[in-house]
Amino acid sequence: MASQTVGADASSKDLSDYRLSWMTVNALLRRGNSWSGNERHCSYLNTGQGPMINVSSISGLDFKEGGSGLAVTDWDHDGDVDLWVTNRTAPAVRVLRNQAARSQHFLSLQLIDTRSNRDAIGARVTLLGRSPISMQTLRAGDAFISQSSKTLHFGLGSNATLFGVEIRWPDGTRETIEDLNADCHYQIT
Amino acid sequence: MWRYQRKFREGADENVLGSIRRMARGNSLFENRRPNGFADVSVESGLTMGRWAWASKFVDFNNDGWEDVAIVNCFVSNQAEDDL
Repeated sequence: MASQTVGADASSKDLSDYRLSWMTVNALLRRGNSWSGNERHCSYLNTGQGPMINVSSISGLDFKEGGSGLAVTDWDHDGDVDLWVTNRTAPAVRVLRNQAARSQHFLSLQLIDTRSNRDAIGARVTLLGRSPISMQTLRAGDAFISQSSKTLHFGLGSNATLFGVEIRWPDGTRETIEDLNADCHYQIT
Repeated sequence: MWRYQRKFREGADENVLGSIRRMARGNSLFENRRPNGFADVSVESGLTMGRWAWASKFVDFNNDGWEDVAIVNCFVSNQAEDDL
């Protein structure tokens, strides 16, 4: 596989070829061409089998705008995650409400830590006894100029039976909580 | 159908074209194969095209327990769609 730049062992011909290529790119851009097919946003569906499926168009996410920020949150509290996109070009902000069919279950967890940081940034939650294995780390600011909700959202598929979660709090303490219900929002302290 | 670089240096060295194309497509996915480091699984995962991405997230859109992917991108965009 080609690397993004020519390697350290590149010959002077490789280097000049590479620089010439960039000059060609820049000349094309100045004449009104696009970098990569007039970029549309992308989205991919993971079915758990085989390669991911490009659903950019069918999902409605494939705006041509110049996007830069992406934040994820269940904005309308209907049990699926919605998206906020910020753009360099107009419109500056788009809220994309997820209208997926509600045939699958979810779990929503808000952690409040009393030992280290209040928002429990750095905590890791693992669902117990479920397939596929599901684990999330609570982060703050994991995309460019974006802050997603710090409420963790898990998709549970069609299996709505009671289950437990293991929480590894930021200070390393491990805690198991049993008998959670699907399709609920929990606040855990 | 992904479109790019139709006008770009026809006949140029495939390695150089590959470098530029890879940058234009954007995405790479690396699988952690502890303790043996990472493997580049970009092509087999079907995820190569993300273009000039600024923010990408693994998001389970449909609550099926499998994480999907959302990507917002932005670079030089003009009317011509199929040329770099």
